[in-house]
Amino acid sequence: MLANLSEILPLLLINLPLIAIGVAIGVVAGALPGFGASNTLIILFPLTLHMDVNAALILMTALFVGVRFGGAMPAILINVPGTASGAVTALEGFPMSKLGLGGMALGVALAASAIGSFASGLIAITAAPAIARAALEFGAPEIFALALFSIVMVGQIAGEDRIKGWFAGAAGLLIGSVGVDPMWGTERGTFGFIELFDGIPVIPALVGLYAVAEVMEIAQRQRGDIGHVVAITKLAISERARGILEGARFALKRPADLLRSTAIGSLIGALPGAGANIASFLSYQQAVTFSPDAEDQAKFGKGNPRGIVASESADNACASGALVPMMSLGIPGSSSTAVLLLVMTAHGLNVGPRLFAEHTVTAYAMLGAIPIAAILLLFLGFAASFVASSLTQIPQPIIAAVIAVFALAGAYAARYLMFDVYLAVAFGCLGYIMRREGYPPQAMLIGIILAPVVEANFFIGLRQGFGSPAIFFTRPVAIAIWVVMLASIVYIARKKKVAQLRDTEAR
Amino acid sequence: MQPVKETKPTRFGITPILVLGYCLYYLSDVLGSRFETQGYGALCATILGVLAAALAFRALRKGNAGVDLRTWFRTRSTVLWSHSSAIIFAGALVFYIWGQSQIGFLWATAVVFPAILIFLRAGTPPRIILLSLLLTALAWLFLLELLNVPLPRSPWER
Repeated sequence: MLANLSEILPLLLINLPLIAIGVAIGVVAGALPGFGASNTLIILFPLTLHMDVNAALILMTALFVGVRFGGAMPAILINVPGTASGAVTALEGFPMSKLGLGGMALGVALAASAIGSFASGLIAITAAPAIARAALEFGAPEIFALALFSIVMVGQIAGEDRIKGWFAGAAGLLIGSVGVDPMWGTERGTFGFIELFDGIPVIPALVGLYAVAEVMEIAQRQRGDIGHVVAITKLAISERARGILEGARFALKRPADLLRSTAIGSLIGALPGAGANIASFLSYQQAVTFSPDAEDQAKFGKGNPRGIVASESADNACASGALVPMMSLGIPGSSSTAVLLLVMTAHGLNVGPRLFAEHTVTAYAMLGAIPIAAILLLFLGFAASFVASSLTQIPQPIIAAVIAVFALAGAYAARYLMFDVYLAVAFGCLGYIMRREGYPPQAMLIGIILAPVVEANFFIGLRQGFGSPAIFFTRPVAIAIWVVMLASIVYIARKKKVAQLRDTEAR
Repeated sequence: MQPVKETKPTRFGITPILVLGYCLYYLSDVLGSRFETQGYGALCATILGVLAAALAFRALRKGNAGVDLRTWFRTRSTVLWSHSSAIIFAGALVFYIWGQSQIGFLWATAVVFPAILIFLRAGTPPRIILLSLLLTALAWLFLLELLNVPLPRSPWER
């Protein structure tokens, strides 16, 4: 790479405006439910065919970086995650918004996203071959264990009651497997709806469990029935800007959280089929585990900015990490990298082990665009956060009306099916009931998202072990994951107990 | 409508009943199919059953927050009534979606915005009219013009 540095650096400098455009488009696209990275890449794909190959790929990579932060904005401000991994950010970001700290939450997300992307970009440039080799150590039993680890941990920490959390996670695992069985093509639990044969679509589930349930809550509050109507504090422009900067400072003062989450994101991103959802949930769980004290741990779920630092930096790091196996092995780790693989192939690149040897400049220019996009994200993201933070000043009825119409349009836009919109309302009702009864919808959502990963890797693992489930408990990496999972369960439970004891004593 | 007192959260609730009901339907759907198909459903059902049993056992042991089973059934209508605002809102959303397929996205949205704003007591009539016009224009500009989402159109536009 060093030999080609004289070519790569000028190439990146010339394409600086394109990187800025890519980041800006990404931020906007990420903020819209249903318009994730894959959709936007597909929409832009025909335009890039007329561009120079390096410029096109640099633009697409910058868009990748912007999308991640964009997904955090609606998650924080109106509890409608733009992407599935934004659901973790909503866990802490939305409670902060309710407390009038939406600007600060956006600032935390912005700094964490930029640092996560910057650091993981550098990691990808320097350690691409090594990461790709390490990722190959993860077979089906390890990915199965890792996915279960995520679900169990989210179940434990998302709500007040871990058994209810695990129940919601298990329900998600069942609902996520609805559709045609991947092994034998048998139809399962679809009520005969042909629209469900492909499985439960994630976007309507996400829109329902978060957005529709939220507007139902708002309706219940606004009619003066239960709870308290959220008071809106009018903030001056300078105060909003100060809030964002304060949030960015908060994130910068948490280097341990940032580094840990970036490392988790980079590694998980490199695992084919694992994806940003696992990375976000896992690093969020690690942030809970590594709480400095019981008081900090008790704040999780109620608006702890450390949760946003963890989820956002891991989510962004995951994006860069996912590029590594795609570029060096030709294995896309997510649907958006699969689209990127398609774009690269359409531009005549031979993606796979020989990419870095045959197209050194293009490959490293793509990875080099990540840290530059991260720096630009700081400025463009600040402007976007500043505009978006004014959303917190809008009264609740207007917010509810806007969420209802736009979120349902988002549910429709994923597959252009009205069925999905009805499905979103059904999930909304379920989410509303679950919230009322203390079952965390986040645990169900992660179950739905990871069910295909769990199911596929469970049966691949069983086949690898000639029908014996022992394979899940005998391979060293799998054993390490189970041990860490058990230790985390015990550790978090103990910490919660200590916090409860202290609370009782204080009373 | 009666003002509602927030009761203690139900320890068991209706969520496990809904989930287990669906689980039974799912299992009946895969009954008699190959091992892998049945196996995954059975695995999920076992986990759900064990966790539901744990929740039920705990609910019974702790007296389900002071509510016995008979009282629980008897109070369901009151609980449903107490959540009527949310239920009406969900019903309105279903009606909105159905309305889209009848008169198109834009017209249905033009109706649903004032309806939501009135229902949620968003302000005086002129304010509601102004807000509805503004939000409908925003939805048209953003979803139909800029993003070009192929949302349902009214019969006279097709």
